Amino acid sequence: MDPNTQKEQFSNAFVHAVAAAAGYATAEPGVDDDSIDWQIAATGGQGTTRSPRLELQLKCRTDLPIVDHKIRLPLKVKNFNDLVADNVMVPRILVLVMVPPKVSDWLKLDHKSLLLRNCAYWVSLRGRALSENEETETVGVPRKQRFDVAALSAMMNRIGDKGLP
Amino acid sequence: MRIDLRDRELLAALAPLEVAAYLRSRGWHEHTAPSQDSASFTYGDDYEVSLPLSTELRDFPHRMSDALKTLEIVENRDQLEIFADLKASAADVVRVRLVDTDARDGSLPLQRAAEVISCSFDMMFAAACAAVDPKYYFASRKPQLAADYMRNVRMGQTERGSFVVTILSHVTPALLGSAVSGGEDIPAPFERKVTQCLSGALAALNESAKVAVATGDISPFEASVAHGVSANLCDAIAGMSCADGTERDVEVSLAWARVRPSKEGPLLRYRVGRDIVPVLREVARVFKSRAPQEDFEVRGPVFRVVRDPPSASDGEVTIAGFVDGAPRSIWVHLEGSNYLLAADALMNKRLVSVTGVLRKEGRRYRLYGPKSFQVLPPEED
Repeated sequence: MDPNTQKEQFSNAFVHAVAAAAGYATAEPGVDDDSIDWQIAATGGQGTTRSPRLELQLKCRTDLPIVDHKIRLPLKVKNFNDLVADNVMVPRILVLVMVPPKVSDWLKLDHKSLLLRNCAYWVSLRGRALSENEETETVGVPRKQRFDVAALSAMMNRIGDKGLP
Repeated sequence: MRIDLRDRELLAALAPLEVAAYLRSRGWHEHTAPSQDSASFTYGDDYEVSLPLSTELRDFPHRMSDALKTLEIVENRDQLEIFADLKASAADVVRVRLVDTDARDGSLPLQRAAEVISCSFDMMFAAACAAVDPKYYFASRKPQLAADYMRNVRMGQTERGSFVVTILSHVTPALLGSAVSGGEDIPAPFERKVTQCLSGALAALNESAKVAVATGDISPFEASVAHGVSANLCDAIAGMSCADGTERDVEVSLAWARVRPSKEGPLLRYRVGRDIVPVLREVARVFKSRAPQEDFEVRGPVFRVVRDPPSASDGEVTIAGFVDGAPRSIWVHLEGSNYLLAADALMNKRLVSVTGVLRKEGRRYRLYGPKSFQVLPPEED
């Protein structure tokens, strides 16, 4: 399998696992869009979406430099600009899944646990100035913003209170 | 298999007002006061649609897609079908159905289809002209308002059920409060006047035709002109009905746009039986001969000039011209200098040309409001 596709699939599983554990449904966007990978939502009785909702763009990387406790991630300008927009009804965040360089280290399973390595982080770029770069814009993803069950639930609660992630 | 609509441009083309009208018409309730950006609609306890109110929103297509996904579940049908209905909710839909053995399998000889579509155009144009000002006959020059309207009338997909041509006449959405209750006080927008005119004309046509068939008298049609019946409308319907020299039944139905409800019930249906088609043809012929023709140019030799009394400055001139391809004597009242020119033309056997409103009066034609009178130079003789 192509290494990029492999990372994409692994990071999808990562997000699904966190959302499921937090009690939210994940859905693919209904529009062809390379900037939104998943929509996370609380669901109504028949699987219809109910507020609050969150949309995310997912990246999976191995080695990235860390400066001031932030992981430096280069993004395509188009992706970056789609994430900084503040005229959206459903808030958008960026989720970065970091994986070990060796694929065999990504997943460990025994009778007691399933371990997915290494970690996922999130950042909201909403309201930042549009990038005027030609190719990429590098963003800093704070290492303290782990994308885990507690963080996702807190984010969804803030959105439910008409706040931002 | 269900087909999802994923195309960003198609989704972006949906109008919030149209979708809101659709939701209301399907029993959805606005459950909170709308914010600046969105309105929340619910259906029962289980379903919610957050409708984006501004097409400027960057995730507008995404949110419309969410709405379609929810509607797909609620209505248990294809997103494409729902999308078509959403788009049509902003239009009055006129359906022309041919009750035709020829069309039983949903197809039609291409030539006949072309004729039906052309007649459908003529029918809408006739209704649009009558909505501006009802007349017996709309000759070549049509009112500008009607011509502008016709540019916005669209043809939808044809539908099964013998053979159905669908015509979409987009209508300005009514804002709450102005639609049903205030309908009598505030005039309807022109595009709605056209479809109302069509509906009124078809109803009048049906009634008048029944009387005409029973009594052999076409005078009931005279009164129906005020309701929008014209020679053009009669011709259009007769044309739809005729295939290979045989008349078939035609059914025209009208469904009002959801975005602007009408008092006249959601769906009207008129069936024009093949038996009355010859009546329509005759009415068209009579109406055409009776209708004044504006900007009509008479060209031909002068064969009589009369002044009564002889000392008067104005006089009657008779020109041998053509009306609808047939030679006719046309009377025209000319003032002083033009009268003298006409008299000269008679003496010198020259052709003249004059423009005005041509009316048939009894057995003869008269040109009113003559202008641009001229004696034509000899080389045109």
